[in-house]
Amino acid sequence: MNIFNPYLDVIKKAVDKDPKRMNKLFSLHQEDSDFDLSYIKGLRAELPGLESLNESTRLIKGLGTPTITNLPSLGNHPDFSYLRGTTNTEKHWIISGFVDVRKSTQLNNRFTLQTVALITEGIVKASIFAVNLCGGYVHRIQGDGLMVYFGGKNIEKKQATKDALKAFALISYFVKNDLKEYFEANGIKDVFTRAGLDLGHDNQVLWMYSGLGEAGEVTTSSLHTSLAPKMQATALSNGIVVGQHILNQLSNDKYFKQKSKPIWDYEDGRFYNHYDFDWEKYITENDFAVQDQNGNVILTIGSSKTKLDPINLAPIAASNKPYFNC
Amino acid sequence: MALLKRDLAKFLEIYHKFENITLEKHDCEALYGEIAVVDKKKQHWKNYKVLITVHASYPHTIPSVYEMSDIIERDWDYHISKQGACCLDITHDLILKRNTGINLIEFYREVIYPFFANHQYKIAEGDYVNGEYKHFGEGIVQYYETKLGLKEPLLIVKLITEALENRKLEANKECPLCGNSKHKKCCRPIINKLRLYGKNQLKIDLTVFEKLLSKKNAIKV
Repeated sequence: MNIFNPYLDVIKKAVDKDPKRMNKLFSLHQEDSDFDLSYIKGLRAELPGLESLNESTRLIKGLGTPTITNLPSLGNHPDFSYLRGTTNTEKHWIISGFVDVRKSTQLNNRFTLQTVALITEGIVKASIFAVNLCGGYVHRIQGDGLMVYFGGKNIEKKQATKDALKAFALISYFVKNDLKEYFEANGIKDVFTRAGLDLGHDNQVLWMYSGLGEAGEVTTSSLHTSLAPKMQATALSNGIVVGQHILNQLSNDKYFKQKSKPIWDYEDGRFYNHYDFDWEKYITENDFAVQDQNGNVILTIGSSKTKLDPINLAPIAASNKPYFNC
Repeated sequence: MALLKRDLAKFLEIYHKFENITLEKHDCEALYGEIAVVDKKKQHWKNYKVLITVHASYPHTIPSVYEMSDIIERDWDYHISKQGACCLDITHDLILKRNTGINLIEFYREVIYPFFANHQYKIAEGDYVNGEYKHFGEGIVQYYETKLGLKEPLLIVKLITEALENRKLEANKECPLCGNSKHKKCCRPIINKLRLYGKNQLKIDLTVFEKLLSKKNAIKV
């Protein structure tokens, strides 16, 4: 069982029970208000909470890992929250990331509004789970997309970079494999993620409070925060695009392929490049996942042990009948 | 070599845990990496470090596979040599694959990967999922019986001898090997099939069946 199964299970139940989906199968048209959707409340309660995050964190980092009792509020990065409501600023490096699920709007044609909301909630919760599992901070939620930060005052840039790549790879995996497989079985095609990540150094990121009164957030002003969504827009289906600064933090560039055109022109002869990140290769080589017979990536990080049944091995082993003559 | 290099690159595009390494031998290419056994329910069983060497005569070759992590006990019953060379399948079936030419990725999926999945199956269940061939000559006898439907050593010796000699017997005349009315309807198709194994393998097979025959005759006497 992989770490996203609890989220997927609830989404599956919601889809299976959705009355609009059933009516569509029989070409019947009814308004959402005609249906009894009281079961949705129960399903929402089934979505994993912090206990799931703590369990996975302990599986990955060890039993002594402190229990997380609450997550920081949005728009208020804990290391810079002192800026809230002030006119003070601070220069400090950060990795900014944007990820969202594309083509999910088509869900509205197939399911009731309540089911769509629950699917979105499931995706968002699974994404928040992945970001927090990897030490990131969720800054903003928009629909089924997230804006996140990796980094702060008590972490090295190199570590934050690895954390960010891992978190975004996990989210991409969830949508590309678990979710897509199930959606496609229910006639929903081409649902995919796109993500962008970039690092701004100390002299390139200004932390500040932006807003009026309570209507504001502690946020960053940085070319590299602005470039992250631009990179996201250039990502392929289920792709993650990263800036040159991200690449510079890693000792190995074999996971990255430079895009043909730079993402930014400094207008002084310098350009800033962006790269496609081969996240499937990254999570496999770094032992967060394995590959099956056909090369499909199977997430293993933080997976709880389940009893292995040789019946499921038999179809693969069946084509082998060994012989000794060495 | 160009085809081999192209297929190696394709393999490496798919299987991220492998890399192309250089061996002292100049007439082959090698892949070193890890096979993760994953079942149909996406459950992960075990990882094996392996070395796969592929001769330059690719695609008309059979890759050699060495288990490098010592997970498989170096015992005949596990079909592995002391050096870790894995006996993936009966030689005859591998020769047939070699004759038609292999595709590296398909060979990995259909022959190499199942060998390791089957090892995990044996550990869990005590036996291989489809049984196994007996060791050495006895396995050859078993193969002739199960795959070719040939049980009688005297006839088998005649058939192999004929296959080795390359004589052309009259198709519509009485079969000199089994006595049926038309040779083309009984032994000829079998001889043609046997020729696909090549002279080297047929000579080995002939020795096995001749020994078996003399043993049988000795018992009769």
